[in-house]
This record gives sequence, C-alpha cells and structure tokens, in this order.
Amino acid sequence: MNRVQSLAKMCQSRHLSLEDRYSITAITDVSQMLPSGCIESAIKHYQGIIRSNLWYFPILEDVSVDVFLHRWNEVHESYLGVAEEIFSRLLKSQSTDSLVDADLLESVIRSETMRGWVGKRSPSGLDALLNNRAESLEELLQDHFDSEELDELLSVGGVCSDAIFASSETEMQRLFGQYRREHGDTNLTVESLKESSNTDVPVIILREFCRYSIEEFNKKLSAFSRTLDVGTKEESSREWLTSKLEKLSGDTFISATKLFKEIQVLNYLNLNLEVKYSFKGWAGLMHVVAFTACSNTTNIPSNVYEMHTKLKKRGEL
Amino acid sequence: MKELTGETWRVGCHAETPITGRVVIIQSEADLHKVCDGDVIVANQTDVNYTPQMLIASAVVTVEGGRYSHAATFSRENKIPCLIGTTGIMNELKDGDVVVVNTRTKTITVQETRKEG
Repeated sequence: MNRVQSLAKMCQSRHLSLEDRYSITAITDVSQMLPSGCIESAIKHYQGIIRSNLWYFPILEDVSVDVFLHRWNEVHESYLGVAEEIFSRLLKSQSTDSLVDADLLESVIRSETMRGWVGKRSPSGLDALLNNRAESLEELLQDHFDSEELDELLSVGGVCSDAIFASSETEMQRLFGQYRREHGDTNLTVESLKESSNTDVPVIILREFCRYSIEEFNKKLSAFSRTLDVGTKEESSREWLTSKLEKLSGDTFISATKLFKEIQVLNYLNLNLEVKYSFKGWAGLMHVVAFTACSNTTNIPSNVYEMHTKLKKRGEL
Repeated sequence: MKELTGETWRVGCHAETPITGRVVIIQSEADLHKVCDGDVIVANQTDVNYTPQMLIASAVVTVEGGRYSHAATFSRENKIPCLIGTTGIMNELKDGDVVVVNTRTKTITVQETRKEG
C-alpha cells in the first residue's frame, strides 16, 4: 500500500505545482470559458473517441503490480504535461481555436495512446491486471468457500475501504459533507476562492472532482444537499476478511493475502486515482477539448488520424 | 408485464424485497438532473459524477461493469440495490416506465410502460 500511497502523493503534488505556476483562479477561469455543456459531456465524448479509434500502444506480457504502478505514474506525468500545454494555449488565447493545430493534435494523440496503454481497454492495462489477479484468487479459494461466500469475499475483500483507501465517490461525499459543515449551502465563488489555500476543502474538491469548474462544484453541492447526512456505510470489512482468511492453510493463506493486497491496490488506483488524474479528471478534460476543437474545424466526428491528416494538409497550403 | 433477465451477473447489494420505481435513463451527466427521489437509474455505466443521484435512487441498473466497477462498489458501500451487466437494457426501457428490480432473482420486470405523447 505504501507504493500506491506515494503514487497518490506524486499525482497530487504535480497538480499543486500547476496551481502554483498559474494560480487556482486562472485555472478555474479557463474551465469557466469552455463552451456550454462541454464539461458535463466530456466523459461520454471522450469515451466515444477512445472507442472509435485504434490506438497503437505496445502489448506486454503480465507484469508485477509495482512495475505497473511505476509505468502508470510515468504515463500520467506526461499526460498532465500535455494537458498543461493545452491549458496554457487556452489561457493565452481565451479561445479553443488555438487548439486547432496538427502538431498539438499529434501530441494529444500520442498522449492518449500512452494513457490507453495503461487503461481499461489495453491487454497490458489496469483492468487486465485486475482481472488476472481476481481470476487467480477465485481459482485459489473456490475449494475453500461456497460460491456465495466466495463472491462476497472477493467483492468486499477486493475493495477493503477505510479513510485512506476509499473510492472517489465516498471521498467526494465526505469532502462535500465537510464543506457543508463549514459553509452551509453557500455557493463557491471566485472571490471566496481567492482567500483559499491549496489544502482547503473547496480547492481539493475543485481539483479532484470538479475539473476546476466552480459551476460543477456548485451543481454538485446542490445535488448533494439532500443526501450528505443519510449515508449508511458498511462497517469496516478488514476484520471480517481476516477472520475468513485465517481459516486457510499456510501456503493458501499467504498466496490469498498477497493477491487480496494486489487487488486492493489496483482497485484503489481504478476507483480513486484514475478518477482524479486520468481521462475523467481535469487532464482528460483538456485532452477532449483539444479533440473536440479539431473535430469541429475538420468536420470529422471522431477519427483522430483523419483529423490530423486534414490539419496537416491545411498547414502545408 | 415483461421480464428482462439479460445477462445480469453481479449484484452490488441485495435488497430484501423487490424495488419498484420509475425509470430514468442516463446517457450522460447532462441527464442527471432528471433523477428524483426513489427513481431507478438506468445507465451504461456510472462514474463519480453520478454520486449524489445514486444516493437518492431506489436502485441502479447498468449495462457495463463487473464486481469492482464504480456502480457495484459504491452501491455496496451505500446499500443501494444494484444490477450490473444487464445487456440491452438501454434499448428496452425508456424514461417514465415503472419497473420492479429484484436483486435476488437478478431480474427487472416492466410493470407499466409510459405512454408516448
């Protein structure tokens, strides 16, 4: 777990540096200037682009979780770098027209290719690694538990959650709850943000769950208003899991414990860090804004290679 | 009454009794404002942006996902009845239909179809 905790810190610290370089208000201003509906349709639009193109990433055989975490970190460091390039163009020009550029599109395609390499649809990606570990664990335990108990064991044990290793949904719910205790239902404004430090709850929520959009923040705050106090969380499942695993013999116990830990790490990456720092987060928003600007100009709905060829030809005229 | 069994194979959380509710189809975040207390959310998949609406829904039904998907994990944590992997459901249901979600039998029964116009 230490490795994934330090990965979380590295991701967060890259965003803090970004905020230091540009200021939180400059970043929220750019999210605010994006075309209406752009943010709320960003994930669906991005998924459409991901699914309708071929991505030419390398395919590796199964790797260790540590190697994968290292690769995921490197990929997302450069993914954020490309997002920053897109952002700085938007900041400077205040227009998405500045993103219609063959060279920039090439960087964005390359960046998305690498992200896809460690993503859901890659044979060397997160889901593949997770499924591999889950299948091994299921195979290992199937003779020791009945099917219903095994299903429960895998489901609950694979996402053992606590204050640190919670899903993004649970973390966001907790943070909005804290905001409401401190500020009531008062909407976030640019003015109130100017007085905030980068460790204050509103800034954390903006960074991790609202793609730096104040409008998104206020929309979520309003949607949460009826639900924040009614959560009925599961009790900690760690003790339950330990009591079940203790019934296993030496070797099986050791193998099962190792696989459970790996699955928990991969699930934390999948259910928490991916949400904040990959294509569903702000860095992803910047990528999809660039794809959309190129799509609109070239009149090509989703084929990113055709867009690139058309822009390249246009530049050569 | 029409029963949809699809290929439902994972349950986020078992409800003791079947849940009856009005269907709200969510194609993207832009549709989330349609969700009212007690509705049944029907979506391709869910993500973090669906959180407030999932908390007021009576059940969540998704096409994609598995044991560790966002929908399954969050539903389990919050005791929201949930069916995952219901292939074809987005084409079978429409906004306003009334359905019975049974997490024990892993079925969705259409009780009342919303009249067009």
